[in-house]
Amino acid sequence: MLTIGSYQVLRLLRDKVLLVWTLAFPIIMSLIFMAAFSALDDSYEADPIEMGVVQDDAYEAAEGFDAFIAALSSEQDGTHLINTHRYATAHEAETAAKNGDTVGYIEVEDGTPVLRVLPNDSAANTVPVLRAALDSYEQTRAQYAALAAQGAGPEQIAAMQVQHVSTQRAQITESPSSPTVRYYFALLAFACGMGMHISMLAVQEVVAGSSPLGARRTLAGIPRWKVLAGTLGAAWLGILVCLLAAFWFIRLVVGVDFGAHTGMCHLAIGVSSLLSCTAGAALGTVRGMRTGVVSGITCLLSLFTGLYGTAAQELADTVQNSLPLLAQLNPLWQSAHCFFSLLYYDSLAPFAHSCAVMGAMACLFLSIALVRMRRMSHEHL
Amino acid sequence: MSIFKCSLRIIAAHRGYILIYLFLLSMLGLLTGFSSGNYNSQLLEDVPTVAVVDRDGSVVSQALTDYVESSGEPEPLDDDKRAMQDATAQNRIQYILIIPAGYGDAFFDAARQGQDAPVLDTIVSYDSASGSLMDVRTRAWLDQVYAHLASGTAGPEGAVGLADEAMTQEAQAELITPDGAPLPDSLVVFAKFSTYPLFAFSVVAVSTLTTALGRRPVRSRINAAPVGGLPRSTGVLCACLVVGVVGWAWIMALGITAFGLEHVSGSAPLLGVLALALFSYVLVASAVGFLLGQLGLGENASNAVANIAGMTLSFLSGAWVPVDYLPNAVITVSRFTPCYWVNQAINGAADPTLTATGSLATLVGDCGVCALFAAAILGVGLALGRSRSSTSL
Repeated sequence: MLTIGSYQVLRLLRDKVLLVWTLAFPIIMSLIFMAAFSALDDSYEADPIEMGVVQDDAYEAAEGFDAFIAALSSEQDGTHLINTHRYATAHEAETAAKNGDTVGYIEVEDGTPVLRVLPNDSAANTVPVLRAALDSYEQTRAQYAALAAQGAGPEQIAAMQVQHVSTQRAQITESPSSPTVRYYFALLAFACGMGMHISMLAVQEVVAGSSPLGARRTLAGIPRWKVLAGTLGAAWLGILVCLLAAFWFIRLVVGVDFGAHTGMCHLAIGVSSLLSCTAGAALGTVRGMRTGVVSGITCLLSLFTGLYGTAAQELADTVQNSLPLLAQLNPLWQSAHCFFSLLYYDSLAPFAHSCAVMGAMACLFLSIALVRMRRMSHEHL
Repeated sequence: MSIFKCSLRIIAAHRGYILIYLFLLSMLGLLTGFSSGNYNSQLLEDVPTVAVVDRDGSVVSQALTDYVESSGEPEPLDDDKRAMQDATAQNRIQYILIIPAGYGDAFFDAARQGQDAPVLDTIVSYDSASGSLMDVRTRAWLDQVYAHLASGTAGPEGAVGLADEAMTQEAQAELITPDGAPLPDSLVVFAKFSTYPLFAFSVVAVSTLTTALGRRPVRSRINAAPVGGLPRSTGVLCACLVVGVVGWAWIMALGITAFGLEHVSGSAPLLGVLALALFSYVLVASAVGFLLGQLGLGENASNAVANIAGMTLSFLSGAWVPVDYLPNAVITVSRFTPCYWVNQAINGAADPTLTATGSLATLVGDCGVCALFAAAILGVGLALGRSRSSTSL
């Protein structure tokens, strides 16, 4: 059995394309993620946008509004949200916006500021903040009016400008949330899915109907269980080594934080690779199964782990929140969730649950594979 | 013509690739397009999912809970750590406010004495600004209550009522209707995602064809046939082109049917730019497939290259994540990839100001740059094929 296993490992290592799928692919993609997300934290900042301001009589009549706009345009304060372009009429401001000179414009109507913007992705971070600032102007004005109506004096109203209320961000999860780790976890799950190539190929070479080599190995003078155990063991080892290499590359070179339970990540990889091995073995028993099918299945399942960018992550979140059972049936989701559990939960119960589900899936796939691989009667040769 | 027909038969024999790379992966794009929100409306109305854990039950805390839940989309949340970790890890709730026991009394005392109010704990999602803005609104509401309590002109109930009234005062916000009808966001998302299936399908199908024709015994027989080199090569290249056109036509038909049927007449020029951008990318993918076939890579290697290169190009070009997320160095590098120019053209087609400023020519130019990549790669492939055939003779 050990001899079969060691030769099987050699045979798998010599197949460079297999190594590309399971080892090179996650490493290349993690390098790309590393480069692509190196400025991700800055991308959430509200950068100043070009904004028109209609400077008409209503604007001049709005108390304190000019000073408010000046504060938003000031590069010295931390409130620099807009670069102001002043126009005499709303029509001029709208024309400028439609020509692409500005993102939109602000005017005052009936004493209330009105923000008009073009639908534009480039202003997506700043426009909500600008709107909140305009709301704040209106609400502060209403507050001062209410205080004055209640009989508060000017000194009392002036004293209200000092902030006495604050909130703080609590750290509820074991490690701080990060928008980038999700991609790496999804990538590890994808690599796990691609690992099915290894076991599928290994099994195809011991199944009687798949090839002349399979027929010869089926008739070998070695107990069948030894052939199967050696082959599957070698395939599992191959997947495990590739995933561990990818994991440590992501951990050390890319610098992704896997939380306080890094040691337990090895267990997650062990169970994930076992699942990948057994699923690939089950697929390998299907006559005519090709690598393209395995890639297709992996690509499909990876969509629901959020590998393909922000739009795919929205889809994955929707499925996860509205159809949680369906999401949990996805082996790659379980694999990615294992890493999530270790990073975000202080309890190991969610991690153990994911591992148990993957273990059960692995048993199911292994049973299917063994039932199909042990067939040695004449009609299967 | 017979070479052309034979080439099509070879591709048809590998119909599994059409099923997986074109049909299946384009369905993923369809799902992604359907799930993508309307970013234009979110620009002004991005309502966060919120939850308040009220351990106090005072007048102030109840009113604060009502305010937060009326400003956002309330989600149920149990008052235990595991539930909060679940909500945060699964990104289910974007803003969680925790009001500790005794907060109302402590807040009242602090306001009356002019001291700082007790600090409230919040949990804010990382992936959108709406949670942070909700936090700003919460502080603004508390500021209002504090001010009324500190002025001594109202008790807790009165202060809460006045704050609620003041917080209803908001600036108006509207979207400007562009002169030209913009393409729907879902179609743009679908088109960007489709760069990957288009690339993977075209590369794998074309490389499978050229590999099959390039096997030494087959090539020898074809070379010995009484057909000139020009019609033979033309037949193969036409078959490669047909592969790309089939993929492009499928993606366009799917996208227009699912997302843009009502926009065909209203924004035909922009739709044309989008179609042209994807077509130019299909040319690149077919050229890459042709080159791989000439290099003699096997089926598995072609699959690997198609997937890795397809994902890499889509990612680097900003097709899957917004270009704003990418650092300048990566954007500079991605300018040397064809998908960047495709993405530029698609982004331009989604920009409603462009029809007004007559910048469509720029977008067509972007497609042209992508087509030049195709020409260059095809040139290399042809040169390699010529070199190999002369070597084998």
